[in-house]
Amino acid sequence: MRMDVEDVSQGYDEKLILEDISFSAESGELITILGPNGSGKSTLIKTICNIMAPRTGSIRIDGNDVGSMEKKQFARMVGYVPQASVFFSYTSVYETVLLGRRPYIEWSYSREDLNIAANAMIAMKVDEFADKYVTELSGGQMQRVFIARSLAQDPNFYIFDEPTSSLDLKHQLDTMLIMRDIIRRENSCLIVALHDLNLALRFSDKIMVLKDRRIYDFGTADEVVTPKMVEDVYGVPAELVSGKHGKYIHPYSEKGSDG
Amino acid sequence: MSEAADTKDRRLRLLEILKNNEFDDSLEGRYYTSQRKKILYILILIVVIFFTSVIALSIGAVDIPLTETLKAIGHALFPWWIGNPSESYYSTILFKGRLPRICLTILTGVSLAAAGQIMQGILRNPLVSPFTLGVSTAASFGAAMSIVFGAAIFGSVYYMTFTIGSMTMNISDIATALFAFIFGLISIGIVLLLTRRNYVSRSVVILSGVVISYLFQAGIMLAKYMSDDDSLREITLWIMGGMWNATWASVFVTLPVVIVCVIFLEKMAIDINTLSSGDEVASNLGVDVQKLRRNGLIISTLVTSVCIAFTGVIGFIGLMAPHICRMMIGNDCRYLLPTAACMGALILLISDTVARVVIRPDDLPVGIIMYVLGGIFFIWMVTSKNWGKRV
Repeated sequence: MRMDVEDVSQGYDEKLILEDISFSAESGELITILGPNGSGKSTLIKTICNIMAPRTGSIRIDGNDVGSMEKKQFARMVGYVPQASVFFSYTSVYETVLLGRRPYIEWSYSREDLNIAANAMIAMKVDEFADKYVTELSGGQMQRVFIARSLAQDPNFYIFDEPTSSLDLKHQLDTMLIMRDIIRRENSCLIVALHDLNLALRFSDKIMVLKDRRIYDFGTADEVVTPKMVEDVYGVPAELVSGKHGKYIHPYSEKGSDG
Repeated sequence: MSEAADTKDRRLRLLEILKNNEFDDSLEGRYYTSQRKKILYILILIVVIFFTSVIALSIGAVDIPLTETLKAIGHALFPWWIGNPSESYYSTILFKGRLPRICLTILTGVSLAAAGQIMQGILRNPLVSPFTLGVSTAASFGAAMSIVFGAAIFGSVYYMTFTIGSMTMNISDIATALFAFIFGLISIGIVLLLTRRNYVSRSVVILSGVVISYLFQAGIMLAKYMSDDDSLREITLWIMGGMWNATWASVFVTLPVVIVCVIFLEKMAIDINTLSSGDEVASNLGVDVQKLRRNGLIISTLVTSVCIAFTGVIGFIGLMAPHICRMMIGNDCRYLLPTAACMGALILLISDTVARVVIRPDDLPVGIIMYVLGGIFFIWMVTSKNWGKRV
């Protein structure tokens, strides 16, 4: 499957957030969206999830415009995990993950739905909390529950907005590894906004960098993540270091002692 | 295993489910157990409502022995099989006075609790109910307008009656219900306008309910001021909320509305569940959030208005019943809605029965009892440690 984003612009009221956004994503790819705070990552993600209709331009999946697609059909193709979830519900973890099956059912969950949701919880290692209320969990555990819900949704495109922001180091790596496994196995696509350049460098097939409402660069990890990009986009001098297990970006401050 | 042992085993299992002891320890098995538990709660509530109704039927200004009550009901259902009760006026009291009142009480409890539960889910706000959003006051205003100005607006048509089968209906009652609905809808329109923005804090919603109440209260005061003595008394009693107006006609007007609305709300329940994860996730799960919110609020307003048009303002039931049930069975709207509806019916039925006997042979407006109960409940809820989590 293929998603084509063409000349999309987006904004709130008068304010323009995104301009001239064009790119394609294909099954099997892991695409990272990078960019400083306020560069429009979240807006882009909400736009490709059809939560906000684009102001201009079009988004197509296999040639079909998503705006005219039936909502349920779209929900089976694109799964969204928001950044920080406002969650104040007396709902158990299992029920929350089961919500991912909503696009497939009318009113009640079948044994198969229950099974898929259970496996999603096991994959994200939240099955031990199945009967707990979501509000009783820590921020990181909650984030894993939400990712599990998107797994239960079983879409062709997983679209995550900073899913690792409140996870600890181990769970960040675990989550990315699990997701990479899943998209390889299911031949689906993951588009994920991240802040951590090194996480992006390590896992992405392609990286998109946003700056000043536009795409600064889009390409393979090696092409995109360069000291020049980091300097241009984030305003921080950096060097690309080759370690034993691959390359990593080392930002340094000129005034600091570690440069 | 013999059949008898099998039944016994199953009965034991039901008990174990109620005690929360699971059998199948897999995730799916536990889910099924909890589901069965929720259904059991609903069934138990229905049975309790039934027995409470029978007791409520037999007590009142005149106490009728329980056996005679059962006999009268039996005779009405199977006249060829069960004989007449010993006193013929028993049947008159039961079927002309108490039974329609009990039916209307149950219907009102169901509709207010269901509407409260749906509003709480849709607005993700635990303090919301038809009463706290100002729908009740707005509907009161509509009813007061109809009581005071109905004759002037509709002319002589207002006083006409018509009969369907053996029931007599007053045009004035229908006009009152209609006016209550229209003004209830206006108030919910204001709430919808206020909550259209993506994030509105819980207190703003409640405050807007308070403000809406004040606005319509001003209208009610005006209507009172301009009315004659008869209308004044009617309005005052109506606002207190009570079940005096219960007739078979009112039951047959409300019954279909309540049934249809509750079915629609139950169909929405699965989508309302998705709202708990936020509007954006709900939208990504294929739910048209705007439409769901609009339809849900309109249907809950309809069902509330039609009932309170006959009973007057009855507060807090839509707040209390869903909360009590949420503590029992959790927040899955598909099961919470019927449970809350039954709980609402039960609370109102018990309250109204108390209202009928506490100063007999007179009766108190049940609204007064609900205000006291609800006020205490509200204070408890706001001061309890984790009320914020309960929606």
